[in-house]
Amino acid sequence: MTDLERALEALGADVDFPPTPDLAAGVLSRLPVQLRRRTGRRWWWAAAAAIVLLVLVALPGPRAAIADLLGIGAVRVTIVDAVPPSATVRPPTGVEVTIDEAQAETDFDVLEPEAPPDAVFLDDAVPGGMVTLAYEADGGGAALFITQLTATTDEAILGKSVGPGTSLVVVDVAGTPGFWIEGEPHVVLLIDRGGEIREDAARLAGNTLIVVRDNVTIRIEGAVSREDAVEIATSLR
Amino acid sequence: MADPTSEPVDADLAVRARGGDRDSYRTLVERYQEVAFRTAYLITRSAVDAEDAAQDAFVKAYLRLDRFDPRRPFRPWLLTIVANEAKNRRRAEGRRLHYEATVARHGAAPEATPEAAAVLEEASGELLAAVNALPEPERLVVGLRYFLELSEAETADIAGIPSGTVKSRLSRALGRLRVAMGDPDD
Repeated sequence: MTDLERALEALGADVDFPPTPDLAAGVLSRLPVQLRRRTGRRWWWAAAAAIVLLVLVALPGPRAAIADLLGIGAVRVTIVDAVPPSATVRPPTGVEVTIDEAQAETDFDVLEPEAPPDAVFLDDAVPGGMVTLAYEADGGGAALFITQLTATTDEAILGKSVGPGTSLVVVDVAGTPGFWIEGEPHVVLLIDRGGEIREDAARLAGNTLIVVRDNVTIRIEGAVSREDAVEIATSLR
Repeated sequence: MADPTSEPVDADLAVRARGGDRDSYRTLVERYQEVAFRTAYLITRSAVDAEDAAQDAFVKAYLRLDRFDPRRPFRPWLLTIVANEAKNRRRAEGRRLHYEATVARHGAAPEATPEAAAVLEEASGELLAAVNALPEPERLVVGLRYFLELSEAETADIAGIPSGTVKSRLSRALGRLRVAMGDPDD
């Protein structure tokens, strides 16, 4: 650096700029409320330590035999060689309601994260009711679904078909085992009271965490990482 | 100056902020609000517009944190967003960029004699006048590079020109300043 450049930098300390306003308060007040994930940071390590009790990726023969073991809450996971081509990405089933209506129409207390959802769906064809909280992504479209129901595996409510491109691991969610399904989209089937598969409800799902808390099956699905999903599940109140 | 090792580094703060930790983002805002505001001011030449641009830029940066690569420095990434916001607010009939300085405050070392201080102050005044006489594009890169002490790459991103153009503009500006200061051989 030459003397002239040094002189310019020294002069820079004396240049009169308008006083810098305090921007922090104004900026903070404009930030969108997010799903709180702060408290979950230590969870990441707990989950990482307890992960991978079970991994099923492209296991050829014995998958069908294992499949029956994979029931959790209202969800039954089926390992398949290929997901049905007819399944599409579609919104959750039910009608759009307010969170208060959802609380009133279900047989259980719907758990809520700190951030209010962008939309709430209630499907009352499911025994006890099934509620989905939907969150939109920044650029529009769905970012996250949190689905809750109290039906049990005996009622075989939610069937999930997981193909070879998808992995399923057991994770620790606040001391409770949960299923983490990650990779290529898998198929979710809704099986109604009569045991019939509801074709209209077959849909492709992304990464999903399933855990049962106080008899409520919680399903968190979206473009989230495993640790974020575990943290969201832990934050539900 | 605080011991840098006791301060959380930008990348950690950004990663925590991305996870929803607003206090971490507050720390980043407080750390960079001065350089962000001054950068915006050099572009908009209005304190009001610069404040709006800087505030909007911090909000947009927060919303885009998932696209920030924590292995890369935070300040240039932020200042590029600031510069874009500031350019959007630059008025067609904007004021000219004109630097003023209160030179007497720091113009001389404390042990300097009054005569030496006076000489330095005069020299600083001349240098400032010479900077203000530079063509506008050169005045901006001199302000960004030397007054705000930004890197060449940051200056390029903010001015929206290639690094090579920053180099050539600075070199031309320094040449003019040397001539103006009567010291062409420096």
